[in-house]
Amino acid sequence: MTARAFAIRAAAFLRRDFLFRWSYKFSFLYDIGALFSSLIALFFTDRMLADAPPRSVAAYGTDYFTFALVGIAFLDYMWVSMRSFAQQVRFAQFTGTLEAMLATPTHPFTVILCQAAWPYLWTTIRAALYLVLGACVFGADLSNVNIASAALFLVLMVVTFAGIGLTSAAVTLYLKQSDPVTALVGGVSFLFGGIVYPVESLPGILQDVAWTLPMTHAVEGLRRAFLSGATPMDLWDHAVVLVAWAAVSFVLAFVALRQVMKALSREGSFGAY
Amino acid sequence: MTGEPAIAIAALRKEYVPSLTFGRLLTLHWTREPVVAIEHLDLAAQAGKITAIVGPNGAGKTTLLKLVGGLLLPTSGSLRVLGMDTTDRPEDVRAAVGYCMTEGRSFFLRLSGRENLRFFAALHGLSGPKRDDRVSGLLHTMELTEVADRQVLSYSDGMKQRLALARALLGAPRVLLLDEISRGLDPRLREKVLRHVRDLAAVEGVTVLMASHNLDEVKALAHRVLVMDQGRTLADGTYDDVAPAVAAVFAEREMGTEMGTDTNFRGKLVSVPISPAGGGH
Repeated sequence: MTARAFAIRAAAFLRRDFLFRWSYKFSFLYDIGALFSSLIALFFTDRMLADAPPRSVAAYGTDYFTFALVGIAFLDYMWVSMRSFAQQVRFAQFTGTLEAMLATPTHPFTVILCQAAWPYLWTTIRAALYLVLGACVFGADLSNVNIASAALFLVLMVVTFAGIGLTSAAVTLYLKQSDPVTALVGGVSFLFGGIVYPVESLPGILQDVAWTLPMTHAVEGLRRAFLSGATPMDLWDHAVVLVAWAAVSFVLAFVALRQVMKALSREGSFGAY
Repeated sequence: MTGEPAIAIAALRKEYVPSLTFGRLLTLHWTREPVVAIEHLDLAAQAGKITAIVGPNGAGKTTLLKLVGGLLLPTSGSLRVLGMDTTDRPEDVRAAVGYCMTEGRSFFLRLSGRENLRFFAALHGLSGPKRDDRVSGLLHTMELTEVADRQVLSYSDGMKQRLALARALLGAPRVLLLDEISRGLDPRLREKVLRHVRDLAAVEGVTVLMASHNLDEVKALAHRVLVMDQGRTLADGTYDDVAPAVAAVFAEREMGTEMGTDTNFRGKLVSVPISPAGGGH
């Protein structure tokens, strides 16, 4: 498939999901409201810590609000990468639209990939809103950002977790129920990935666990890119870990999806739920 | 094409294997007994002809349509559409085939009919003015222009059925698969839709494979009728040729009152006129 052909399909999925979400206008307001409430909670937590800022946060040369802002802003990329493929596939199974999409000449992989186009776009808008509001309204200092490093780690994070998410979609397609392993990986990543508190705050053994997780390396890279202006060369060790995770997760996803598509074509259960 | 039938099926067999579930995985019940949906089917459908598949529920009609549409893989045997093997070239087959499924839920109900068609047109690779012209043309043909911008949620079954046919025609298919095409249509629209299908075959040379319970519709359209029951072919020929077999299979299943518009269909079947669709194949 050419890039243009892929773009036509991705644009169609974006338009479809925007129109679907727009038909529930209140959910847009709810999302924006939830974003504001997260920022307000971080802001007051920061004020509480203002007199005695934690040493592990100070090591990043910033306050708690800015430290946590970067973690929270990009946390959704992990969730959307891991959940949206499987959720959208499940939704399409329930609504009976999956089989109709697969009856077209568009390759099933493309259908599954493009299902996540809107969730990624909306997550990007939300992440941008977090950072802009955090800087403009709540005074976060993001002036040191190294754009190249930030972009590199964002891409690596998305690719790594998308691989896990696509594998989860394959499991969901086949077993017709949510995949508990992905929820476990997400939960562990949230708890130990250094998102709202530094990894150094964890007990020793959990710190070791944390540094095996891709989320920890992604957040560390993003945080140092945003707060310290670290260059890609400064962050090479974290990048290598993420590249390894990305390679493994994508190969796994490709194999799983291929096998599941074959099995479903044999069993005839694409439309079943 | 070099004289090969538009749809060429030889010794086709399809078994459904029940999906593996978490429950089966955990309880180590990994052995699954397959269910035979189609057993040793042969069919050669010529271009521009309409073939109807008739049979009670569970006969294998929809399975056959899905196999021809490249949505399912055969267990064994050969299945070629326009010279393309459906196992080797499923995307090419799906590009040449339009599949009109009965399931009204297969649309995005909160989107309008027009937006649904725009979306599926993009999955056929159409974009820009070409896509919009195609969508508008099909909405007009199916008499859906007035309701095109309303949510599909508010459509009647008949509207959804016409929208499904419009969707099947988006890619200008050379093979059209119809599953219970006239279900939910009033007599006037039914006549219009059937005439459109007949014109597609006669004028544009589209090969049509239709599954139906409605013998009036089969009689009006089909050049050839395939009678199936429990995955096996019971009879194959013109409407008149197969009428006794249809009567027998439905009498066996005691489904006479579900057929067509005539509740006394069995008496009707044995006295139907020959080939109203214009002769055999």
